[in-house]
Amino acid sequence: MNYHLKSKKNNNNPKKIFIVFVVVIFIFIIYQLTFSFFRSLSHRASVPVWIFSDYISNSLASIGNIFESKENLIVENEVLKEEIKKLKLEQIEYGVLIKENQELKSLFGRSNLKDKIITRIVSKPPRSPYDTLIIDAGRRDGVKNDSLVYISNNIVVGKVSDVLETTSVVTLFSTGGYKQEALLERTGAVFELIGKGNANFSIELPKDTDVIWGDLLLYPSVNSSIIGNIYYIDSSSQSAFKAVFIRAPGNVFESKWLFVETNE
Amino acid sequence: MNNIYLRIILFLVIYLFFLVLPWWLNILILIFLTIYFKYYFEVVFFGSLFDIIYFGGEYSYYGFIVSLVFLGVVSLFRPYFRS
Repeated sequence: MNYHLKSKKNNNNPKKIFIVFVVVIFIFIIYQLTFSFFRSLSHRASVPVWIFSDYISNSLASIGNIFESKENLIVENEVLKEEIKKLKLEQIEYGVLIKENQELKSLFGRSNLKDKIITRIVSKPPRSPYDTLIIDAGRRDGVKNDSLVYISNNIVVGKVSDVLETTSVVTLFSTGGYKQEALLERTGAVFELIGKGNANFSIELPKDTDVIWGDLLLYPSVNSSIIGNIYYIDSSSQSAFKAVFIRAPGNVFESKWLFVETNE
Repeated sequence: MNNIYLRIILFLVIYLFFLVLPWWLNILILIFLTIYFKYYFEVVFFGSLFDIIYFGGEYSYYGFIVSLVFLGVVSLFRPYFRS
């Protein structure tokens, strides 16, 4: 009678796995202790790659323009010229208003002019899984933790969450789960916005709360910086609450530059 | 020996992808490689790199822990889905 020989189980594998895991955990502890060093090192190594890849993708994107017809370009050029003229006029008016606003604030002893520096975004979503941005300004340029980050003069998009020597990590207010207080411009009511990712926020409010489509939400400070505006209110459900959806104006993900406050 | 060279080359390529491609695409590539190779420890390195480069706070464990757990699960179940 023939019997199948049972193959001997290899008992070394669990031992090997255990040893490897112990080694990995040891490496992890070391890496936690030297986290900022590794972060600084990896940012320094990555910035040239990010800049180069952006350059390549921008060059590839402009290839499509070759096939654009001449007539279309002339028409588009004229429209853009008109728009520039209009914007220049608005810019002059805006400059006058800003100056007047600052003068009024300084009369009341609340001059809150903060220095801002322009920075380049070197990495942005969808590269980052955490909805964060990496900018090319750091401690060397006067950037501090919790410095506000703007997409334009009065549109605030997030805060600096970690500063390195030459780079900084910016956490957007719209990062999933991030909570940020905001002031409703029309009524002065304060709400806590919850980040939903991709420059979107939401709040759940009692149905009788006075909010309407297009309402602006501001960052609570002397300077009225816009965080977002209401674009949809869902009050169709049977509950006593309504869901309010807010979107940040401007598209930070298509922007190349940001402004960061450098003094407190 | 060829396998080692392949993994070194792949490591460099994935590192480049990591800096250039969207995070979700990198995760799909890493999942595939973790299943394909036996004990693909590089996944833990890349998981940690997500935290080191992109996380907004002082430090984070998410990438490291998720990649380590995934590697452990794949290693445990490997005999069932690969001959």
